[in-house]
Amino acid sequence: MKSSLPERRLIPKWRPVATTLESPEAGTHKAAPSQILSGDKDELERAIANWKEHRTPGMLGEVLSFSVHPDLLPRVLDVGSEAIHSRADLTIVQASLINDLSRSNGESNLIDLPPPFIATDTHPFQEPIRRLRNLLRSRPDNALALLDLAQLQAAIGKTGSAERSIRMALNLAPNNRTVIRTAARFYVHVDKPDQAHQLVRRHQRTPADPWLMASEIALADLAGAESGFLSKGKRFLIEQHSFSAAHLTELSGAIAMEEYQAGNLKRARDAQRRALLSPNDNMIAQAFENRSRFGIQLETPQILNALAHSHEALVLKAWMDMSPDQVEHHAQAWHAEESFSSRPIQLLSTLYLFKGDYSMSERWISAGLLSDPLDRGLQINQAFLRARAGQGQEMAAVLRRLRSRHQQEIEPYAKAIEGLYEYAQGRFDAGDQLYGQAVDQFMQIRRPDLAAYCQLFRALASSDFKHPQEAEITAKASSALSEYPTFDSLMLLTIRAQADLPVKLPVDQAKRRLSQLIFDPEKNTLSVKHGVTSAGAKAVVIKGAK
Amino acid sequence: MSVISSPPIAKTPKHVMEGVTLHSGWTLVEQLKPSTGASGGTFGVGYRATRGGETAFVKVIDFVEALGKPDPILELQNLIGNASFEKEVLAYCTERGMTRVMRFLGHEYFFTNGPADLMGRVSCLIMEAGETDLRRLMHGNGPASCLQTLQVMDDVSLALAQLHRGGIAHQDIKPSNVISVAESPLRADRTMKVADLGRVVRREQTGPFDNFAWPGDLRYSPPERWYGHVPTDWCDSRDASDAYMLGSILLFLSTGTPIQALVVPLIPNQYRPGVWGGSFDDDLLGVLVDAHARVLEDHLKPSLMPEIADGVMQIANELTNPDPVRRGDGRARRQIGRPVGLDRIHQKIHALALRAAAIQRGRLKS
Repeated sequence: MKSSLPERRLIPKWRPVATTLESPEAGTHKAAPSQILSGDKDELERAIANWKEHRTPGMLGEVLSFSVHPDLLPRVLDVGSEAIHSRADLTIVQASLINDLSRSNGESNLIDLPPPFIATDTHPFQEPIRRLRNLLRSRPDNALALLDLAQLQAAIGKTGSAERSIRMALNLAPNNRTVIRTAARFYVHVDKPDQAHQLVRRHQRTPADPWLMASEIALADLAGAESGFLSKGKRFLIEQHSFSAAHLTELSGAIAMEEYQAGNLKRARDAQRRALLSPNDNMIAQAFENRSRFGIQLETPQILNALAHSHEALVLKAWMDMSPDQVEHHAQAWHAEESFSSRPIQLLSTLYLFKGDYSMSERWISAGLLSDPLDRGLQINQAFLRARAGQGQEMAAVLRRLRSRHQQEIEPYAKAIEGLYEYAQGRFDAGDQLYGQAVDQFMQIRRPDLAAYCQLFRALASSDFKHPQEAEITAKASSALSEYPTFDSLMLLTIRAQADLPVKLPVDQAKRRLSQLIFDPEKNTLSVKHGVTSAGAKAVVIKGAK
Repeated sequence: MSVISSPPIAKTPKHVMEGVTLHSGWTLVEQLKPSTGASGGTFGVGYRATRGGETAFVKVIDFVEALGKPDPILELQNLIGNASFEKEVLAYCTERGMTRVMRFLGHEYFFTNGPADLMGRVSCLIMEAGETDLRRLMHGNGPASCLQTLQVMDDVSLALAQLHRGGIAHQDIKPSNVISVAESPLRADRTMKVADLGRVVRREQTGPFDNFAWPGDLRYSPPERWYGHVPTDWCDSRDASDAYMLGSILLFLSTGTPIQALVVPLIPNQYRPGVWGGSFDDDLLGVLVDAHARVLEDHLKPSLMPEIADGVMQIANELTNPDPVRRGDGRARRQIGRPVGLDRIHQKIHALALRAAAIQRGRLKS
């Protein structure tokens, strides 16, 4: 059987820098300057007249210089488009700039661009790494390029090089929020949560920065340390009114998790409500992961908008909706965004494993283990594939590595995989015994859901390898699953479409709303009441109605 | 000094000087219409003037227009202050032997309607005339060759080094202010000089533009000025600005586009000038460094001779560093007083230009 994803925490996401820079977490909460940088229209018209008279690239360059003023851009583009269509003298860079400006203005390509170069005979990360190295060769102080390089280095397993890149970026831009958060995320990736926590906790910027405070609270939880900013963060939410909801989403979300763990459900829900007023991709993925904990409906326009921009959340949603094609699509997009992370790879390898596409599953496992050779979930999947293929020695080697590192925690999984291997060899009695031990051990650690999941795998294996007591095993699995259904087992059943193991969705509990509309028939007014409602509350309440 | 159409304006004495011969013997033969970005510093009208076989540029200012303004005293004060400042700066540069700055040839007052009509009196600033500016020199086959680019950069960097040595920061270096002159018979190619000293600031002397947020053309300004950041130190705020604009000339020559127009589209929306509400801090600088690096790598590098590409890229990086505190020659900036070191950069450009010329000669022979 395969493992579930590890528990998600609200630690910073490490996306490509270009993506992060477009998100609120890289921005400032301060209002834009009141002074607008407007250009001189008469000057521009004179420059255009000059170009029309001489039509030299130099004069066109003068016209293009006005493109720095957004108010003059449409007029500059008119001239640029005319230059291209009339085949006027212009440089390659000028043509490319006009085309780029035109596209960013929502228009189509003005020039025929060569198709993007995609190397088919090299590793997909080779070309981006080469480009980043070139950028850094002529400009070694480019901290943001170092972050991108570190991500690709981490993705191909060069964690030492990645760490050097991260350290250099930190030295170059020690106060850059994106650099600090990325460095913290990197230390989590290399299993140094203490270092990640200390970096954020001790940083001079953290006490005034809600994004760093949120990271500190989540990292303290991960490192098993006491947060230095939990109380300050709560006060910050109350006292700081100059920050928009978008800048407070992760801080509120981190506090919500802490309140939940402390048993303060009401406060936890209220903090979660604030976090969901304008969530980012990280917060929305966290909300989907924890939606049964908070019992809040995730259907406001802000939430749906954030969901549309978060491949991670869309994967989780597709998994819960039992939509394997969507899982595949979004998990691949998530992997493209966070190529170093093993979480999307775990999901993809599991999905292909469920589908019976073992070679594809194997390929993703290899890619994931390159980035993190000790990833528990991927190693479990790898051992599963080895057992199924009857490769006993290889399976034993993987399980040995897992047992030495994770000891008791891994034992029920290991037993189930060994049971599968015995089934594959036709030694059903030995297999039954091992599967039985696995189920017992899951029950001992009070995980009946995992025990039921294990029984499902056993039933499927008994069918695949023609176990003489297949019907009896399937009936037991069916009974366990009807009592303890999980999304993982339901996804597996959806894909395998076993007629004798019917898919039974878990009962969706009534959810709470983040706000309600109040209609006052006397005044004929409709107002919004903010606050988490009781479970199953109506969307619209008519005032005075019984 | 382009000749283009402009909207009709009320004629004052400065507009009717065509055909007039000044006391110094210069005859104003042609009125020049204003070119793009002709900030000029003063509200003058330009003329091409001749004297024997010589040609000069004469900037004529009158005082009539100022009298019609809502506050004529203040307007006159500004006009006189600006005109005197420009004249003094030009004269100073010529006296100091700044060979790559347009020369000062003289100044005189002239009565357009005879001595009795005081309102017809004009101020005439006579200076060296150029042939054409960088914008018109770049034609036909697109950007200049790497050798031509370095030769122009050699002259412009020398001009700025000369100005900086004299305690003057130009603050308005752009293609229209880099003028070719055919004065040197020894050089087959043109000599380029820097013109329009109407917006300069002086280190040891107060001037009319000292307190301007940005005295020059914002399209060509260094990035810190887009965000309203004015460094306190002279070198960072003034000499470093000239260095950035010199870097922009390098990009203009190599690509046909100033660096500013190439950088702005690479800045994420929330960091764009006019949108970013934060300070000129590490968050913003990281973005600007990345955007500049990509422009130089993608647009400048492909246009360079491979043999000297690293040297030119290093200079381009030094000149266009978005951080004014670190902009300029690395060694110079570590010295006492942290000079930007355009004199050192000029030497490096000069050496690269010589090398490029040698490489080109070698290629032609082979």
